[in-house]
Amino acid sequence: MNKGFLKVGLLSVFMSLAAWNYFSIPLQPDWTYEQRQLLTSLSLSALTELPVDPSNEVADSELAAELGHGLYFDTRLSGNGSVSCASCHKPELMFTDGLPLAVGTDIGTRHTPSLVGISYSPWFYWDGRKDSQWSQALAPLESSHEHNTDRLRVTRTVAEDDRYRELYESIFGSIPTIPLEPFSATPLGNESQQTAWIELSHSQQKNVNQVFSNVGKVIAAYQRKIIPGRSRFDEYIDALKLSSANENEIYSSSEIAGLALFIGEAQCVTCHNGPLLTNNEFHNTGVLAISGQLPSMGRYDGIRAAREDPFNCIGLYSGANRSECIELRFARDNNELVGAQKTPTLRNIADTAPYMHGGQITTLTQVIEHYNEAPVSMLNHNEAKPLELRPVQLRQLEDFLLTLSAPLATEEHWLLPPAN
Amino acid sequence: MLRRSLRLVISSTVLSLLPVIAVVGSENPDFELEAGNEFYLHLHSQLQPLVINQIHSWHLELSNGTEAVQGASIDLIGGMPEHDHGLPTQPKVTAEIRPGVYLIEGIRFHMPGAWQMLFSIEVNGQTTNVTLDFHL
Repeated sequence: MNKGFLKVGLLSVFMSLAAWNYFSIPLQPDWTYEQRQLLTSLSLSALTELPVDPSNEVADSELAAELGHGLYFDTRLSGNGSVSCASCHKPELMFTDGLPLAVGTDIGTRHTPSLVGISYSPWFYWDGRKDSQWSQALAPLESSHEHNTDRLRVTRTVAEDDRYRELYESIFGSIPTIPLEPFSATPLGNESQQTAWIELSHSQQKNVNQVFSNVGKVIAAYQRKIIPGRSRFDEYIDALKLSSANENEIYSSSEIAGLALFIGEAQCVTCHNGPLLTNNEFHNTGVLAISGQLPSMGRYDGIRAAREDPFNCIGLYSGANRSECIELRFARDNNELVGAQKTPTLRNIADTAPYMHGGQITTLTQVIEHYNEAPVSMLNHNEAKPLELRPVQLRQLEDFLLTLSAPLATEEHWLLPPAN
Repeated sequence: MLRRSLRLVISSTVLSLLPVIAVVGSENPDFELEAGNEFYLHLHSQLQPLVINQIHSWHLELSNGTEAVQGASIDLIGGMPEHDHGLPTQPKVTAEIRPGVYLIEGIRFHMPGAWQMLFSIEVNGQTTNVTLDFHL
C-alpha cells in the first residue's frame, strides 16, 4: 500500500474524530415556538409571589423576619456557643458552606444545600423529611453534629434576651414561663435530656414546644427573604421576547448551544424546570453512596419521617387546618422513591460546589460527566439515561450553567448579622 | 409559565377492552371522555392554566349520557411512561361534591412531557378503566 496514501487516510480519520468531539456544530437558526414557550417558563420573570405557608402564621411578617434574622446568626443557639445557622448556610457562599459534608459542632452526614429560593419548595432536606421551612429550621438545633443544643435551652435564650423577648411578644403575645431547671431537655436528645424532658409537666412541655416551634417560624420568615437575582440567563430569555433586542449580544454561541442542550438532548429541564430550575421533587440519579455510609434510602424514608413528625403541617403546632396540608396528605411513598434525593436549584450553581447530597462530586464538569454517563444506581434504578454527548457539548453545557450566577435579590442588610 | 397544547387520546376498557371513543384537545385543560357508550367523563382542572409544579385539584363529572352517575368508586394512578415513573403525588377522589361530580385532590405534574392517567371507575360492581394521555 502506498505509505503516503495511508498517512493521509489516518490523518483524515484523526481530524474527523477531533472535529466531532471538540468542534461545535452550527447553531440552530432560531428557537422554535415550543422552545420559546419553555424558555419563557424558566426566566425569573415567570417567578410567582412566594407561596403561602398555611402552617406558618407569621411567614410574611416583617417583625418575624427581624427576629428570625437575629436568631439565624446567633451562636448562642448551639451547645458550644460557636455555631449558628449561618455557620453552614453562609450568605457569602449562596447560603452553602463549600464543604462536602456540613460541619457544625461535628462533621455531619449530608452536604449543606443552598437556601436560595428554597421557600418555594413544599419539602425540605435532601430526603424531604420536613414539610415546612419552619419545621426544618428546628431540627439542626437539636442535631448532635449541628447546633447540638435543645429546645429548652433555645426557648430560654429567647425568653431571657430582652430584644428577642420584646420582638417575640410583639408577634405572638406573652411568652410562657420557661423552666429554669433542668438545664437541658428534649425528647430527641441523649438519655439524660430525654429523662429531663419526661420529668417536665405536660403543660411545661407544651409551652416549650410552642415557643420552640415559633422560633422555627420566625427563622423561616427570615429565610423567605433569600431570593435569587436576575442572571444573564434571564436577560437572554427576556430579550427573546423583544424583537428589537439582540439576544446574541447577551449570550455567546457556546452558551446558546449549551442552553439548547439543557432543554433538549441533555434533558436537564425534565427535573431542573421552572424559574428556580428545580421541580422540588425527588429523583434517583445514580450518585454513589457517601463515603463511609450505606446508600441512602432517600425520599422513601423521608416521607415516612415527615408523616410522623410532631412539627409537621397537621401537627399540634401548625397553623394550618388539615385540609390545607395538601402536600403531606397526598404525598406518594412507593418503592420508586428508594434512593431518590431532592432536585436542587441550579441558580448560582457555579458558586455552590461541591455537589449532590453528600458533596460526592467536586466540580460542575464532573457533575455533567456523571449525567453523561448515567451510571447504574447502588439502590433502585437510575432514572437518567446515558446522554452520549460529545466533549464539545459537555463544555457548552457547562458554559451555559456558568451563566446562572447572579447576586441575590435579597436586600443587603439581611445578608449580614443584625447590627445589634 | 408553560403554555401548551393538550393532546388527548382516550382508550377505555370495561373489564375487557372497549373501543377508543373520543379525542379532545385544547389549551383549556378540560377533557371530555366517552367510554364504551356507557360513561361520559368531564375532567376539569381547578388550576388554570394547567402548569407543572403546582399541586391542585380536578373535578370529574361522571354521567351515563342522560343523568349523573352517583356513588361511583374511583381510583386513579398516573405517570410518564417514557420516563418509567409515576406521578409525584398520590391523588385521590376525596368527595362527591355534587351528584355525579367527584373531587380529585393532590394532583401535581413535575416534568414537561407526555403524561398518562388511568382512572378505574366502579359502578354496581362493574369496573371501567379509562386511560388519559396528554402533553404538558
